[in-house]
Amino acid sequence: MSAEPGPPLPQPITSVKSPFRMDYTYVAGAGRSVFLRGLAERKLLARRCPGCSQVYLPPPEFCSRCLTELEAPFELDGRGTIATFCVVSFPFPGQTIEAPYVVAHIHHHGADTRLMHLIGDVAPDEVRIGMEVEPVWVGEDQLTTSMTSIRHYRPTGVAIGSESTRA
Amino acid sequence: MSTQLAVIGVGQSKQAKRREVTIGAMVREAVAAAMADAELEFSDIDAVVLSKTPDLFDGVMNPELYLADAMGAVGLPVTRVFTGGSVGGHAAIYAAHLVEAGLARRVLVVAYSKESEGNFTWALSRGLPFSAQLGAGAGGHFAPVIREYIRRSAAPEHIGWQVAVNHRLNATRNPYAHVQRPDITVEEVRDSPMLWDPIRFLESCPSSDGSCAVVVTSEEYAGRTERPPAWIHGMAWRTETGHFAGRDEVNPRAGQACAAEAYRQAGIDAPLEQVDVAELYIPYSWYEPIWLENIGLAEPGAGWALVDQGRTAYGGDMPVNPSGGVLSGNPTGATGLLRFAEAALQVRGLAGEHQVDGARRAVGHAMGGASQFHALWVVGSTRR
Ligand SMILES: [Zn+2]
Repeated sequence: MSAEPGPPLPQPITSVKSPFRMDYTYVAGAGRSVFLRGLAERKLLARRCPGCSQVYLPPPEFCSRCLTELEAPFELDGRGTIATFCVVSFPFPGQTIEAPYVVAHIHHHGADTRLMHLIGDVAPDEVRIGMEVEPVWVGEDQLTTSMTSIRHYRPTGVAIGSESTRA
Repeated sequence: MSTQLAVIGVGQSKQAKRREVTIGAMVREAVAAAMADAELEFSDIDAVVLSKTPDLFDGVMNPELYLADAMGAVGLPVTRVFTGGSVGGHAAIYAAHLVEAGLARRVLVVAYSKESEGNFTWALSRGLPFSAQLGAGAGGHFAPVIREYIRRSAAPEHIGWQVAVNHRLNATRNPYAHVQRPDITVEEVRDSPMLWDPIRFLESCPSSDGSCAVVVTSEEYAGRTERPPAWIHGMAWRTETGHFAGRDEVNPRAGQACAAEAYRQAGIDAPLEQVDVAELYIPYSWYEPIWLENIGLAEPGAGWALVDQGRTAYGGDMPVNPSGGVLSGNPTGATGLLRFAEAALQVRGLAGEHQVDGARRAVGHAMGGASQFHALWVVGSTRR
């Protein structure tokens, strides 16, 4: 058998795309579920360790220092200070918020842990370590057992926008 | 440690944004180089330890199985270690433990990442249910910690730029390093795009393909070649959870404890005076002063002054990352082992153009997760 010469060969293939996806069944766990149910009611529920008196927000089931089960949940008022932060200043694939935006470690009054969330209703270059902030909750119809129930935190000194804040 | 332990073989591949070889071939480059350095055959190896990031990162499930032939692991026990970015350091220490425990005479440690074959951003940014979509990426985690360090220490902002320049200039003396920027200046770093304020583009590590391998053994099997071994004077790992109440990520307790234990074993009580060179896991430039303080090479708040005085630059009295470090090449699964391996090369006098004159004792250091995993070893040119 003989064959006619074919068309010129293409560039060598050095890689092929092989996409894959994964579906997870995520279990929040007993401790975290307490906190998540609180979010659906605009409540930030903390728990104290009976061993070291440290207060966790969000609370796991056990203190990571003492491995002791935390005490009954109680509500914090949501206000806190910015412990530290960064300004995300560039776009990247999959980004859901337009840059620049502020991601902060928030130290809630009465808690000994920090919680990461967005800072809004303020220009990024006006955000400072030590600034007091409060949560801006989503509307009633969007409240759910998720951190997304809090849209972002905003400085308490700034009273703008029409979002409801917990009194 | 009762048994004297030693590193007798070191190998690494060229790092690059994209290596046009298979994962197996890239791993084999480092393995073959380490075995040649140690002058061993695979039949001399009793166990293999693989250091690797999560399977999602470059899309190969169970690479410890796929790479059995590339690692020469016929009939040998293979263990895979994973502790975030520190994994290479943990793997090296685990290998040393196997020898120390008498379970193996010689252990081959293998580490790699081929990040060009996966989607690192995707793998790192999988949204968790019930979480806020912050979309901050890896730098978004470390940038707030850096901001807090700067506030606490009152360090001037040029420190981060200077570290970025020092490490990239060091990389020009390391033919394996990914990033090659011989003309880099402080002004260029300062003017590079802001990514996660306060981290700029040139203050950040790249994403790389690369591999590394080392052979660890005991005194009985060391010193059989012309090239001297690196003696392990001390080694430790420590871990802390990501969110215990009162956690200080600027100066993690696990990092302090890890270094203190390794120094105790090594008989070091004044690290800055007694260590000649350090290879530290510095993915963002400000982590140089942060780790110098965390592992006791500087007092809290004083790490940045070592940078400012030029003491950590190549030619200074406490050179940091003469290889170019993580800022000049970051195949994450291998990055920790590269730090440990470079420390060994320095005390063996085999670091080539980036050899630090008179390096007799060196620290190799690795960090993983959100500064949760810490590993460190002290190696020396003479027995402990
Ligand atoms: Zn406790």
